[in-house]
Amino acid sequence: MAKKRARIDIITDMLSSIQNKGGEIKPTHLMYKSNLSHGQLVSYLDELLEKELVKKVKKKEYDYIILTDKGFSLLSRLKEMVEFEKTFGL
Amino acid sequence: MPEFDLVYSPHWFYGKDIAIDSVSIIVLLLIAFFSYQCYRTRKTCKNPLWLAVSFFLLALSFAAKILVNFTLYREVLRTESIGPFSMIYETMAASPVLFIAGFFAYRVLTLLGLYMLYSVYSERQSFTTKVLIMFFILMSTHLSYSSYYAFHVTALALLALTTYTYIQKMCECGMKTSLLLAFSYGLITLSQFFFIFIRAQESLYVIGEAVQLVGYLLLAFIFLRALYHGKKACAN
Repeated sequence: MAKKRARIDIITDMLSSIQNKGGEIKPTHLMYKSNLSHGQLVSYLDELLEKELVKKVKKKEYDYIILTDKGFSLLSRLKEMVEFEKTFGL
Repeated sequence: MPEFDLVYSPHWFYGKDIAIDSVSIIVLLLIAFFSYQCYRTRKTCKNPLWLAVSFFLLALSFAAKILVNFTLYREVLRTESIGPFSMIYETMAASPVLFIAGFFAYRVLTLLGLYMLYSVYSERQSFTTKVLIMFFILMSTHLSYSSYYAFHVTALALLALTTYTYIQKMCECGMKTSLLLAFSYGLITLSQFFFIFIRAQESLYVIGEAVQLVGYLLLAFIFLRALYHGKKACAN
C-alpha cells in the first residue's frame, strides 16, 4: 500500500502539475493531476494563493491557476531537495 | 603529560595535508547545510537531519585535526646558551593544551560523525546499543593515545559498514545512480586503510590523504550533480 503523502509532497505535486501544463491549469485539472479531493484542493490552493506561489486569473469565463515566479523558485528548490534525498539514500 | 603515539607526515608534506583537510571541511559543511535545509523544509523524515549532524561533526573533526597539525608544524626559533656560546635553532613548538584538546576532539568527533553516518542507513538501534557504541568510541579514542592505529581501525570499520549498508539499501531500491556515492564512501574507507600502516611507511600518509581528497571531491561532484538534476527536472 502506498505511503500517505506528506504536506510538502502534496504542494510539490501541485506546483509540478501546474508547471507540466505550461504554467497554467484549470482548478479541476489540478485536482485530478495532483490526486486531491475537492476539500483538499480548496485548502491547499488557499495556502498557495496566500503565499503568492500561484495566482488565479480569469480567461474566457474560466478560472486558471498560474504559477508565479516565487512558486517556480520554490518548486525548483523542492525538486533539488527531492533529488538530493534520492541520491544520498535518505 | 601522557605519552602519545604520534605519527607525523613526511616533512615535505607539512601544510599540504592542512590544505587537503580544508577542502574536506568545505565539502562537508556545504552538504551538511543543504541537508539541514532539506529537513527544515520537507520534514518527511529525520534522515536528512542526521546526515547534516554527521557531516557537521566530521567537518569539526577536520578542523580539530588542522589545529593539532598547526601546533605540531609551527616552527619557532629558540636560543640556548652553552657557556660562552649561544645557539639559535629552529624547532617544533607545541602548545600542550591545544594539542591534547585537538587530538582528543579530532578522534572523538570523527568516530561520532562516522557512527551517525552509519545510523542514517542502518536499521534503528535501541538506546542500549547506542550507549554501547558510544563506550566503544571513547575506548577507541583512549587507546589511540598509545596506539594510533586503534582510531583508524575503528574509523575503517564504521566506514566499511556504512558503505556496505548503503549499497544494500540502494540495491533493494534498485537505484543504479547511487553507485557513485557508494564509490565515494568506498574511497574514504580506503584512505583509513592506508592510515593504519603509516608507521611502517610514511608515504602511505600522503597516499591516504590523496585518496581521501578524491573521495570528498567525488562527494562534492555527486552533491552538485543532484542539485543540477533537480533544477533540470524543474526546467523540463
